[in-house]
Amino acid sequence: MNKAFVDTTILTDILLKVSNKRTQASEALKKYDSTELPLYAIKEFKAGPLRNMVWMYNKFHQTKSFEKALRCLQTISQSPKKYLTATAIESMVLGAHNIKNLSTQDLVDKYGPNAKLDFVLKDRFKYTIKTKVLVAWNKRRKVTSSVCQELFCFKERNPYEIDGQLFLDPMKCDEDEGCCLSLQLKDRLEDLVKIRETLESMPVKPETQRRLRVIRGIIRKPKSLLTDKQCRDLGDIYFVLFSPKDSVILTTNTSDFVPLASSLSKRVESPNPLD
Amino acid sequence: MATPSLRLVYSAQNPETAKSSEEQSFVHEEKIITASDSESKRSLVNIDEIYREQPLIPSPFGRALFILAEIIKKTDTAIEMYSTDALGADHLMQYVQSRLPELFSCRSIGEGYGISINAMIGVYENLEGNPFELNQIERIKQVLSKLRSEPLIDAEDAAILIELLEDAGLKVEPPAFDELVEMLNE
Repeated sequence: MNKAFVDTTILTDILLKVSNKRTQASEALKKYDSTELPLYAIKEFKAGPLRNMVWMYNKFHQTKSFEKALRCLQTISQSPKKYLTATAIESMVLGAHNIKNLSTQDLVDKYGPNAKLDFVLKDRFKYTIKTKVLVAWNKRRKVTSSVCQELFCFKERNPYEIDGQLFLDPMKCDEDEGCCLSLQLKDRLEDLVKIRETLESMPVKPETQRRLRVIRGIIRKPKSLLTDKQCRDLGDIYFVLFSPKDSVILTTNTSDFVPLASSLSKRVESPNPLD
Repeated sequence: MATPSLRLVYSAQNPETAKSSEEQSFVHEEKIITASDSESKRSLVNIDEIYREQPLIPSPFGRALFILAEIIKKTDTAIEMYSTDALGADHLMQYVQSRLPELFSCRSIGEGYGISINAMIGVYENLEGNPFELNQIERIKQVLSKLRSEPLIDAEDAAILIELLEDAGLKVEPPAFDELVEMLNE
């Protein structure tokens, strides 16, 4: 029986993307007899891609303007390719304005500012994001054959709304209960050393450095409990460590996963054969 | 035992969009109807018993009900003629598309209504002029009928309606939405 252990990138492509990435990810899942999603992926998804969508939703709500909300995104973007983001935003604004029939003078005369183009676009994207967030949250446990490795310190509370804005908390684990991963990690020191050596040989990237810090800390003090930040910083390491030996790790991020998984003799596959 | 009365108060659920004087008056509009015990369940009150004809002073609510009734008939006819006159059926669906901008302008009715009409607009944009398949027209009709019978549908129920459209192979997101998702996850 061929099995896949699904990571957060696949979950995100299926639940949030529209393009062929969604189709590729969905098709990839069908190739396996059994697919498993660890709850850690849901935690990462909620604190990452879903939180970013909710931020955008609230920005549309706060600015009441499509263009102003996108400018906020441009300002806050942490992408090293910030100039590309600016270009992408320009093209989005231009592209969206091609939908002129949604805001004719007739409609503006009849329905007031509600029918002006910027307002129409703001509402269209707001509605789409809200639908995506609600549907994604409802489907999060239905993407794979099963959800495994529950995290007892992480509570899956539904998204909620206050005064027109969406909120997702808690996105962190309940640290008062203690990290449920810590107990398992202290028994995996031999594997952690192999992963540390691999990380040290990989190109220097901020996330690699964060992972190294966590791994070194666990190796140094195996009995310490992980903080929520350390738990999140594990990222890809979690999937490599906890994927069953008889599963492949299914991810779109093969460049980071392959060396790490190889160090523990585990296999990685991508929905896109070109990755 | 007193006859129970069912009091329906229609309020604009999105105050930020309810700014015109017409919409303000709509906020305060209310209708009171009485129903016998057996009729007091919400599902037994037909929307047409509340709005029998196009209102003299059109509110977004009244306009939307009127347009929805009109395009539901068109989709019905499109379904009937699909197997014998595909071009005619598609022409009727073009008419449905032409009414969506005004339906979207009535979105102060409520968020679930706005979400559903927005999805419908997205469906047409993503089809890029390609004709619908029969099962897709049936789904469109299903959504329009649900909206007409329950225009105050909430966002969660609207999301379920949208899944119906997606299950029929229809894409509902506006153009450029994927670019936005990519930018958010850079």
